Amino acid sequence: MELFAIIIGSIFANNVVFSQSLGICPFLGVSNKVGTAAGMGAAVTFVMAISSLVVYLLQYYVLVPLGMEYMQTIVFILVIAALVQMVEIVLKKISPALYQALGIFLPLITTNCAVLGVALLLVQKEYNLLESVVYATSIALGFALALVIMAGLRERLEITGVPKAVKGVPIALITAGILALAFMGFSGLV
Amino acid sequence: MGKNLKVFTDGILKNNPTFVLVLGMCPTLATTTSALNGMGMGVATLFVLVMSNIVISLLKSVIPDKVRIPAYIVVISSFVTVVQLLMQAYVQDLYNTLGVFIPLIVVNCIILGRAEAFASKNGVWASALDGLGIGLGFTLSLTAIGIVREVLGNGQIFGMDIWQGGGALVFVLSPGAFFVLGYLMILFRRLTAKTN
Amino acid sequence: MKSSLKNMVLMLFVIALVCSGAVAMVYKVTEEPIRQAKIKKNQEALELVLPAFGSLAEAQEVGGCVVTEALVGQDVVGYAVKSSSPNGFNGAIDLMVGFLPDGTINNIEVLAQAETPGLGANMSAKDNALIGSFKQKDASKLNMTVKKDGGDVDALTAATISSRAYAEAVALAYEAFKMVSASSEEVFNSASVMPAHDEVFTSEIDGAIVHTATLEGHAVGYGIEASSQKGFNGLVRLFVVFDAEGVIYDIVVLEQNETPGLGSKMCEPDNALIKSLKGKNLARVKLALRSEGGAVDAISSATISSRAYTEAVAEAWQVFKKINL
Repeated sequence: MELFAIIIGSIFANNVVFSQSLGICPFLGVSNKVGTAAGMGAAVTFVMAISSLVVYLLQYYVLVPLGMEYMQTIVFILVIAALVQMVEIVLKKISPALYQALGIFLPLITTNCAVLGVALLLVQKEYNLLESVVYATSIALGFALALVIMAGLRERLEITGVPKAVKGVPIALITAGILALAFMGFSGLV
Repeated sequence: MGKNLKVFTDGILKNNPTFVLVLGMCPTLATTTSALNGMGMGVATLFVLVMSNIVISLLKSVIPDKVRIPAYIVVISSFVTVVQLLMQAYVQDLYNTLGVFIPLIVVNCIILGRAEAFASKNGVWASALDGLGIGLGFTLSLTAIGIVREVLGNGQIFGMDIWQGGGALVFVLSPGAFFVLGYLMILFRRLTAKTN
Repeated sequence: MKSSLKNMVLMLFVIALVCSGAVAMVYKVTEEPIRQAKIKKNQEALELVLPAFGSLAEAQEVGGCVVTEALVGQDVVGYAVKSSSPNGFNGAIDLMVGFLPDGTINNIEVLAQAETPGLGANMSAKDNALIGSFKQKDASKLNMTVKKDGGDVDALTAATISSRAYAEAVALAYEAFKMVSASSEEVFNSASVMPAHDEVFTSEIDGAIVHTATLEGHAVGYGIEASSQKGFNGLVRLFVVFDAEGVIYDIVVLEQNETPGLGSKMCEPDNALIKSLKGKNLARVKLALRSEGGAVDAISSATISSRAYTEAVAEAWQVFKKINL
C-alpha cells in the first residue's frame, strides 16, 4: 500500500516536471518529437533506477559510517556522471540509432537535475532500499510521461501560426503551465 | 577594459541566462515562489559561478582535455558544498526554504556551460567578469519572476503586504511558474527586439 | 595539456584531493556556527512553546524525539518535544511542541520547513489553521489527522500534504510526551493516598516495598507495591493501601500497558475493580473474579487484565499478612 502510494504520487500527483519543477531543461529541449522524447524518457528511467540503488548504498554504507554526509553533493554527482558515461558506452554498442537520436542530450543526463534531485530527495525522505528504487523509477516514469505528452503537443504547435515573439520556448512554457494545472487535479489522489 | 565591460553587460542582457539562453530552468521555476527566495537562489548561484569561473580559468592549462568535464564538476560541486555549509551557518531559514535546490546548483547548466564556453578559453579577469555578469543576469531574472509571482499570488512584495486578502494562489504553485516565465520571456523578447 | 592516461588520472586525483581538502576545511570552520545557529533556534523555540520556567532539564531522546523538561524549582511545569516528519511537500518538517503536564498542547513552533510560500509555508505564520487546531487543546482528546482523513485537524488551504506531515509530527511528539510523563508519574506521592497520618516511612519486607503511615507512633496504614506479569500486555504494577485492620483503603495503578479503552480502564477512578475491592476486609472476601467464584467485578471485556489486577492485590495481601503477624 505504501509502495502503491509512492508510485501513484510520484508519477501523477507530484510529477517531477509539473509539480516539482525538476528536469526542466531536457523537458524543454528534447520534447520536439514523440520518438526522441520516449527514448530520452527510457534513458532517464534506466539511469535513475540504477543511480538510486548506488546512491542509497553509498549514503548508508559509506558516507554515514564515515560521518561525511556533507560530501553528499560531490559524491552523488560524480557517481551519476560516471554512470551516465557507462550508459552512453553501452547504448553506443547496442543501439546506434537511439544513440544518434539522443545525440548531445545523453551526456546532459548528468546535468539533468531530476537525477541528482531524486538522489538527494530519497535520502531526505528516509526511504529504505526498496522504496528508494521504486520512488526513483516512478519519478522517472512521470518524467517520461511529461516528456511524451509535451512532445505530442509540440508537434501540433509546430504547424500552427504562432507570433514570432511567442514561438519556441515561451509557447512551450505556457503549454506546460496548462498541463501543470491539469496535473494539479491528481493531487486529490494521495 | 571596454571589451571586459561588454563581457559583463552581455551577461545581463544579450546573453541573459534565463530569457535568452534558456538555461537553469529548474531553479528558475522552482525557487521563484517569492522575491526573496528567487534572489537568494540567484545570489547563491552567482557566488558559485564566479568562483568556479575563476578557478577553472586558472586551471585551464593543466587540465587534460579529455577529463575536463569531470574536473569541472569536481570544482563546481566543491563550491556548491561550500555555499551549502555557509548558508546553513548564517542564513538557515533561507537554506531550509530553498532545500534541495541549493545542492542542485551543481547541475545548473549555466555554470557548467560558462565553464566550458568561456572560462576554459579566457583569462581570469574576463572569466570573473563573465561569471559576475551572467550571475547578475540570473539573479535579476529570478528576482523579477519572484516579484511577479509573489505580487499576483500573495499580494505581497518581499514579504510586505501590498494589498489585503492575498491573490490568485495558482501563481505561487508550479503552473504559475510556467505562465509567468513564459509571459516574461515574451515581454523580454519584444523589448530587446525593439532596442536592437 | 596532453591527455595521456597518466596525466588524466593524476590531474583528476590532485583536483579531487585539493577540492575535498578545501571542503573539509570549510566544514570544520562552519561546524561551530552551524551548531550555534541550531542551538539558538532551538532555544528561541523552547521559550515560545513552554510556559514560564525557571530552568531546563537536560534534553533526552525518546521515541525518535528530543524531550526537554521545563522546571520551576523541582516541579515540572512543561515538556518541549522536538519532532519531525519527512513527509512534507518539499521534504522534512521539524516542529517544537510544548505540552503542559496535564497533556494540554501549550504552543507549537516550526523549526524548519521548505513548503511552498503562500501555501504549506503558512504553517510558520501566526494564528494559522493548523496551530489553531492544536493550541490549548487537550492532546488526549484530539484525533491528530486532518479533517479530510477523518481527524480533528483543520488543514491549511490547498496544502493537505504539508498539513498531514505537520499533524504527523505533532502526533509523534505526543507519543514521546506520553512516554516521558508516564515515567515521571511513577515517582508518585504515596502520602496522598494513605489514611490521615503524621509520618510515612518506607521499608522492604520479603522483597516488597512497604510504605507505613503512622499517627502518633501507631501504624494507621500500609501501602504495598505489588505486581503481576499476567496482564494482557505484560506487567501490571499496583500500590495497594490497607488500613491497620486489613481493609483496602485505596489502590493506585503504578504501571500498566493494557489495551486502551479496555484493560487500561483499571487506571480510572471508580472502575469496576476498585469499586468491588475498596472498603473490603480481604480476610473475609474471596480474592478472585466473580466469574471464577470470587468477589471481584471484572472490567467488561478485559478479563485477563482484571485477573492480573486481582492477582497483584492478592500478592499485596500476602505481604500485609506477614507484617501483621
